[in-house]
Amino acid sequence: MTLLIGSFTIGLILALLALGIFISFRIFDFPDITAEGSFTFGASITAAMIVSGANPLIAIALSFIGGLIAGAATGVIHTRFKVNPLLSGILVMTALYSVNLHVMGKSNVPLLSQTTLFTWFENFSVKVSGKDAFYNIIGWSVPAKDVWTLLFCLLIIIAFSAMLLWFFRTNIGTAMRATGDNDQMIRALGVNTKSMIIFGVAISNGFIALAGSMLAQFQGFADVQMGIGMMVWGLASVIIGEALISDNTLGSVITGAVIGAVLFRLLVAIALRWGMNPNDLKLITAAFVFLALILPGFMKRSKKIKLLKQ
Amino acid sequence: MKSFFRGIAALIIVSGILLFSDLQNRSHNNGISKSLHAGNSKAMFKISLVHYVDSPNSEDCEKGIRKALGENNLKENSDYSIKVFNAQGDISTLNSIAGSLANEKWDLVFCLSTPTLQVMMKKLSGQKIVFTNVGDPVIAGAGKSSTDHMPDICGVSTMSDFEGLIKLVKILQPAVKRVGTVFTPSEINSVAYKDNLAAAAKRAGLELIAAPAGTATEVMEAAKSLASDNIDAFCQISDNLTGSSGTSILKVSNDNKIPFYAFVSNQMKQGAMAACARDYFLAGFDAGEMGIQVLSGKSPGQIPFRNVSKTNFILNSERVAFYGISVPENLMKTFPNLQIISK
Repeated sequence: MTLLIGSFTIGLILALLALGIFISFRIFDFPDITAEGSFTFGASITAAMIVSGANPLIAIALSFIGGLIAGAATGVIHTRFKVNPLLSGILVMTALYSVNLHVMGKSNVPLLSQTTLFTWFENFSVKVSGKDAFYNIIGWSVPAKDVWTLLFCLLIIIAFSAMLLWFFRTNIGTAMRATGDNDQMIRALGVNTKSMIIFGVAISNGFIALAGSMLAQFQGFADVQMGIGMMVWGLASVIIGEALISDNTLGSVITGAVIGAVLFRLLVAIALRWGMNPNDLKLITAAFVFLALILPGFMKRSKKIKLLKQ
Repeated sequence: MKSFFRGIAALIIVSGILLFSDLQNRSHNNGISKSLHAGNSKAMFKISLVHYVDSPNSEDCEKGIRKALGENNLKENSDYSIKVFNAQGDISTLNSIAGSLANEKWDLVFCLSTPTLQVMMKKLSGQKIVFTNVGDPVIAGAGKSSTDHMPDICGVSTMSDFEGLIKLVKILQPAVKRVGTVFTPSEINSVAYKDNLAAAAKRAGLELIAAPAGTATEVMEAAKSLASDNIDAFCQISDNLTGSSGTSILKVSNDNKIPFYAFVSNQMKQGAMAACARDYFLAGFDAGEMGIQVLSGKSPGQIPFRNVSKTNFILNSERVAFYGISVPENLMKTFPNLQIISK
């Protein structure tokens, strides 16, 4: 059960990353590689701020702003200088690597003895249920602080998803979605698609930096290499979510991205729990993603066949 | 709405599978504090070992740990069971591994590399951890000093013998002025080693030129830039990146006839001229022995962090001739335990 709760918590933290990637990839159709840099950027800003004694909330807010700036840089390079979207992402990601080293001053900053957002959650748990308390959940006993951490993460992700949902229903948000769907139409309506793209990629990377900031606080350190592979995981989460929830309304696709991220972590946890050869881990996760992708289509087809037979 | 429920259903099913595979950890009384040898009728130690990336250094550590366990008459599957995890360089997987480990009670957890140690310190409260392949545990946050550290953690750091190597360089190449190394700014160990090497070189009146590399392909370019910067010798520090792509530095060393000194003995096989090696195999071996102390009941809090116990000096006579260096007579006097190999 601890394992399940832990996987849900990591999944929810990385759901912020999935939401970010969902914005750039799905709404704008913009393959944005900046993610791997801005994820670490968020983590390193948070680490540097917290070590210097700042309030975790301020650190998180600054990380978000940092992500916004990184994303805006990618957007500007793409739209104003006409650089291919992939290439502009690569440029910013590469530059961020050095920036991150400068922000932290070294490649790895431990946060173990610092007060982070998660220390607050644990303190709250101590206040509510006492020190080293355990909850009994259908037979498994689970440390109370893990349960509270999960609940708070759930609240955070619900809040951010709701904000995103609200935002994409405002006038600007609708114009942004239209920019990704049919830019000629929206340009004819007098919307500046270039600034829409810059703004959208900025928000996307803001969310990704937020995920990095949360993960650094959760795991107790920031490392300059922690962004590696994040984009692939985020994209896989978005795709799994889409495959599951084939509905196209905004609310469902956002929920889909979140569910996809959690599901993905659960699958990794199963692979680990079954004790497979560690060298095969990535192969197995790839197989899981593949299965998750084809299963929904498969189920639909078998339903159709059944209907035909009747 | 229907598809939304499909998503929730998928979550529930997968959670169910996970919980089902975790049934053996279900206990009605008290969480993780199950009997020490859970699930086994025989008294078998339950050990896990976590790698962060696949690298020769990390693999050598694992070999050393297994060797140490074997030499102390512990047989796998009868005296202990060991479960190996590898995050394959991915930080989210490393967190999942931590979650998976925290779910069970282990007699001992071996952490190889700094990020592994950091994640496990945070997530495995109350479980005993022995680390190695960590350059400086104090910088990593495991304690205030080598004796005043976290109560459940001990281990062997892999700080190289920088003074020893510089001494070797000065004897073999008395005219040496500038030495070079490729280092990896993104690895905290690598930066610490580079700084220590620079300090040791400065004390001996030498200058260290360090070239950064971020990926395997950049290693050769960094080495080439060093070669064109008129260095007299490569003193290659040991980190994960240059450990797996050290051959490209050796190639540059060959092409430009610049002697190559290594800090790990496996680079001798690849063509290094000399080494002052505190091997990762030995580090693993020391960590294994430390682990046995912990298994036999000693509290990790009472075991100070320490460095690898033995330094091996190795010289390849063929390579010395290749670089046109004449071996001085007082060499064996200064380094009485120098191993000379010829292949």
